[in-house]
Amino acid sequence: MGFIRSICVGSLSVVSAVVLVPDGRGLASAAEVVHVYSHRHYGVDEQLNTLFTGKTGIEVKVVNAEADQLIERLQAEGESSPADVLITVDAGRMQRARKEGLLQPVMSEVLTRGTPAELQDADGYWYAYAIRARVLLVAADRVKAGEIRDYEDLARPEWRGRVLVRSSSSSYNQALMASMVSALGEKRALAWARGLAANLARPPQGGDRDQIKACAAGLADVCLANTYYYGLLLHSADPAERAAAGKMRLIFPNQGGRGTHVNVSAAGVTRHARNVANARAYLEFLVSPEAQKLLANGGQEFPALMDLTLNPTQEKWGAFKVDTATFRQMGEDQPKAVRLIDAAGWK
Amino acid sequence: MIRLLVRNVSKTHRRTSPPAVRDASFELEDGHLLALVGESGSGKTTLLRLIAGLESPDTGTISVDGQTLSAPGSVTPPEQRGIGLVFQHHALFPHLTVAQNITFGLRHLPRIERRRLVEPLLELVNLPGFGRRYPHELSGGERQRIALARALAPNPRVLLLDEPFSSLDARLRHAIRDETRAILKERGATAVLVTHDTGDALSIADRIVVLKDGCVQQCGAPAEIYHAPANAEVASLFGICNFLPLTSLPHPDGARIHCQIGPPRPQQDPGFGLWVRPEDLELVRPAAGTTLTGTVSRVSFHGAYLEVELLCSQPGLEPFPVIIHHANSLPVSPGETWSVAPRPRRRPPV
Amino acid sequence: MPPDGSDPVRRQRSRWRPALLAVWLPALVVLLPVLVVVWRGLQPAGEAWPQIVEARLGGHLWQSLVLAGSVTLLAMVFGVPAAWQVTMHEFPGRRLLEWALVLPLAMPGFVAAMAYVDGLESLIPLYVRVRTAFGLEAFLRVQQIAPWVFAIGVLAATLFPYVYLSCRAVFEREAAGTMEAARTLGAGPARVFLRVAVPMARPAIAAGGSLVAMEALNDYGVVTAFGLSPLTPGIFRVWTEGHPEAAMRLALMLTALMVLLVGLENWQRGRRRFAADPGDIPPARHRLGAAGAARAWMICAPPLVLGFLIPAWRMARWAWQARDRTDWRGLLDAAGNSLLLAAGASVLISLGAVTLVAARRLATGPSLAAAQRLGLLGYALPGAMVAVGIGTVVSTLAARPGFGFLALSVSATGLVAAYFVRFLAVSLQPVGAGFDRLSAGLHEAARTLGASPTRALVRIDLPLVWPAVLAGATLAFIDVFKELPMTLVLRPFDFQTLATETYRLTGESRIPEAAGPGLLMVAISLVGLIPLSHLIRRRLQ
Repeated sequence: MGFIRSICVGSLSVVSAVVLVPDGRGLASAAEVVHVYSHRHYGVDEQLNTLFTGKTGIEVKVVNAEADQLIERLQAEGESSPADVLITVDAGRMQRARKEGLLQPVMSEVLTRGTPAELQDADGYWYAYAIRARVLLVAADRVKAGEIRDYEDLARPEWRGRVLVRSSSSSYNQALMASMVSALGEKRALAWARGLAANLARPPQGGDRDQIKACAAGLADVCLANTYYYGLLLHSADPAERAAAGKMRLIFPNQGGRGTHVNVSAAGVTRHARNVANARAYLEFLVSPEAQKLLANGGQEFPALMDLTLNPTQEKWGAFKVDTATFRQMGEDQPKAVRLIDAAGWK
Repeated sequence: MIRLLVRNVSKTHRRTSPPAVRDASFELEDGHLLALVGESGSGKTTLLRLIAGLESPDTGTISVDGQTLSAPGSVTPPEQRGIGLVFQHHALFPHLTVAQNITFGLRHLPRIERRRLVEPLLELVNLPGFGRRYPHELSGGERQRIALARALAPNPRVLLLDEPFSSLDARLRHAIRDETRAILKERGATAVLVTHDTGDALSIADRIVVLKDGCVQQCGAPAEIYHAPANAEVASLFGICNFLPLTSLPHPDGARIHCQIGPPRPQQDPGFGLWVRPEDLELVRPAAGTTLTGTVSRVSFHGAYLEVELLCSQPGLEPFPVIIHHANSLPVSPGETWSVAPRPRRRPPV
Repeated sequence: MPPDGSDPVRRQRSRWRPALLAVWLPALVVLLPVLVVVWRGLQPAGEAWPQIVEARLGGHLWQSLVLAGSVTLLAMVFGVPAAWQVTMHEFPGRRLLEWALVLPLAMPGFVAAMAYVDGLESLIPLYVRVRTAFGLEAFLRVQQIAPWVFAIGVLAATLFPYVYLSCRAVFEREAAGTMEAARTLGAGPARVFLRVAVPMARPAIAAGGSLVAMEALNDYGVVTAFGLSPLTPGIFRVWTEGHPEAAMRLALMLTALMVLLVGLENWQRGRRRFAADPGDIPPARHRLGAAGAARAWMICAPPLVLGFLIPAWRMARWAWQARDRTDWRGLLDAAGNSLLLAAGASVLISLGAVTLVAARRLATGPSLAAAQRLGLLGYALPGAMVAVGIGTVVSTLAARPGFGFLALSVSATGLVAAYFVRFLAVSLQPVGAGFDRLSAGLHEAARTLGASPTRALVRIDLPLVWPAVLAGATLAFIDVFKELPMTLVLRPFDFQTLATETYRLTGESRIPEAAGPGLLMVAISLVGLIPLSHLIRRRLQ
């Protein structure tokens, strides 16, 4: 009897020890604090948060996870959620969060003016604060200027065995596919994805950086990557990575048409935020010139207002046309995009 | 006064196998030593485990001092029965010292008292000063004695011993056997001993229960079992027993045959056949008045006697062997012709 | 101790009920995800299912089959001859090789994969040459095959010790007489190996091989690192895409594959039982000359080099190079989390195993044997299935008002439960064997001396099986410590373990930084592994 009881007590205490540890950290309450649920986990984010705390005295507590999990958790937690701010790396997820009633509108002149009108929620539920463009990178020595201009070109037969792209499970590719669906319609988007998959020089593997490096090494001639990965390689501490990036040329696709597909890092205040003022201050801080400069240089992302003078590298890349037309549609087309990617055999 | 009462106990282990114990009943008086004897598989160990409460009976009851401890479906767990058990392989706890082994069953006593009890027990089993040793440092005989001391320590109402001498070599076992009886008698213990060795049973038990195929064959004092076995099985279990297809075996001196199977079975001619132990026979020169004569087919030396196998023939019967323990000085060798006669002997009091 | 006046019999009857339940509890926990997955998997899976069947299922299935098959085969090629050389021959360095060949077990596949992922990259000049020399089609073919070669190579090189250990045990046990007899009958060493040793070791090879195949089917980290998509990553992908029913159907298929595998192994073992004398004589090792020794090294060294030395060496170098960039606090946090999880889970697992096994001392009944068999089932359950099943249970519970604290995102409850289900068998085996070796007479002796079942268990049985419990706990600890896919899916947010940290950094191509946590994992696993290699061997028998 005693043995059984001791087993029960022992198990319970072990379980609770294991269970409560992660919890204890997130819920500790400080005097001034803002709780952030964020999909972003880059070095620059920590710098940003340190800077924010230094300026305002508000402590930033971050919980990292993928956007879908964060949304699910917000739903589960409901009113008891400790989160004040939600940050995702694509607008579609923000739209979903709004639709699920997880966000509250923030009216702030700093925010409405600090971000371009087309990259914020019309009712102020969320605001973009950094932009990443999904671009083509070509091997400078093997691809002539003008040989490839648009995303659509990637599916053309002459690029067979010359294209690299990461796995379709990446949300960046799913967002791009969603934008293709918005722009071309399902049928043509499917044909495009098929063509792209057929042109791959190797089955998708690794991240964007790996695609760039493989292209530089001669495995293929063109790859799809986010701009900041290219920027990070150009500024890498590793000379080999800098050399690889140096062999590539950046092309902003579809400049003659709808523009280059971009995605954003966006932030919004949660419905049940307890520290609304702090959350708002955090959002406003993210679009402040100081934070924007840090984002542009530390993370190589485009600043919200596309002020390219903040980062010499981006200044050199030059201004480009952003595809704002498909931007609002992307969130809704996402499930369709995933289905079409599967159907096209893009691994 | 009756200490242990086993009444109509049956036990089947698996539904498919024959019952291990069948309707077994016997009783044991206070301070007596009872031996459960049978061949392996006869159910004696099962019966012991039933008494110990390690298994539950299908039918029947087991009670100690008038208190029912086992009945079908309700069994007082072993630790509450006050019954001690000495295991065949001693089952000393290898991680505990001898003293800790002995005091294991004395948890209800205060520590000091427990410690005080150890040395007398060790002296009882003639192993004074062994308290700090570990079981692996003991010899076989020493382990047996410690196991006995451990089982005796809590003063069990009944002490069970499961083949306690079987793991000892022949020379040791006689000594230990007698010693064990002495110890049990000194403590006034009521004990049940399981053994397949009839020698053990006859020499140390006050009473013997013979089991075969789970059934009690006979229950009685050693001499009774030996000299008046209830049936052929019991007879042959306790040593060689010759079956003579004769109505009588007269001796010139008019001596009687001692070993006889109890009440004759009805379908058999009551006058037909005699059961005789080899030491109740002797070889005599063939002469008038001897009815059984044969040729010596084998002679083997057993120290105190010669074991002689005589191939006897009777008119109208196949030749049959008769074994005689020949203890006088007459030389016997194979091929010779001898006659068989009952040996004049005084019967020990039953 | 004479019983007091009350009737002890009735008291005793009623007191077994809760104990019996407690005894069944571990088995029920193991059964739970299976039931959930079967039940939910049989429900309509929505429109996602036909689409998955059409677009992915075939690919997942054949990838799983090809992967498991080739990894097992290669692991046998690595393991069997190495075991033979090390047991039958005497050559310089043999003793070193004998235990070093176990080292790859401390190298989780996904950690080793990290060391080879960039190998794909450094081969690019070769691929480019293929393209210029043999044309585009040949190039594309090579590109298709290369990740397979790497994935199979890495998995086989890290998993072959299962085959190695089981074979070595057989060769050691049965070699002496049989082999020597074969040689006196005029068979050369090669013939003895092929005609006597391999057939004799077949059950052992099958046992080790089926473990390898299971691990290969369960693998997540290696295949995703090389861009393959067999069933396991497929299940997780469908699950995270929000189609639990479809994920469960896939999980059921994977489980069916596993069950088939176990059945195959049993069938093959059942057909022949080898009852050679357990040789007391150690095999007289045949001393090899210089050429023979060189050949033995050529046979034994490659799997060791591939499965341990190269990855360990590369990681050590990277970790050193990245020491300034390494997030030491994060690493420490992750290590703390890993240790805590593994310790907590292995304590629970040991308690469960002891409860299940000790139950046979406390009470009897056929249901207890069934409970123990159920507990052993966990090891044949794919991690993906356990994750999906437990994930569903915990989410359902957490959705009830007042139970939010259980939610997967917040607590490690689900994760610990999943570890429990998956690794209970790991500890149950040594603990069960420990109790089996222990004479039941000791327990009964204690009972007749007045000890209650519990006291007998605590004072007598447990102290005596303690080494086995400890060994089982250590095995479970290492397995939990190295576990990746369930941890990835079920861990709370913002909660990194060394495994997830390694995987995350590898996924972000930050390989030099990933080397730190990877190396730490290997080091901690090694500490536990070395004294335990003989136990793993026993588990294989």
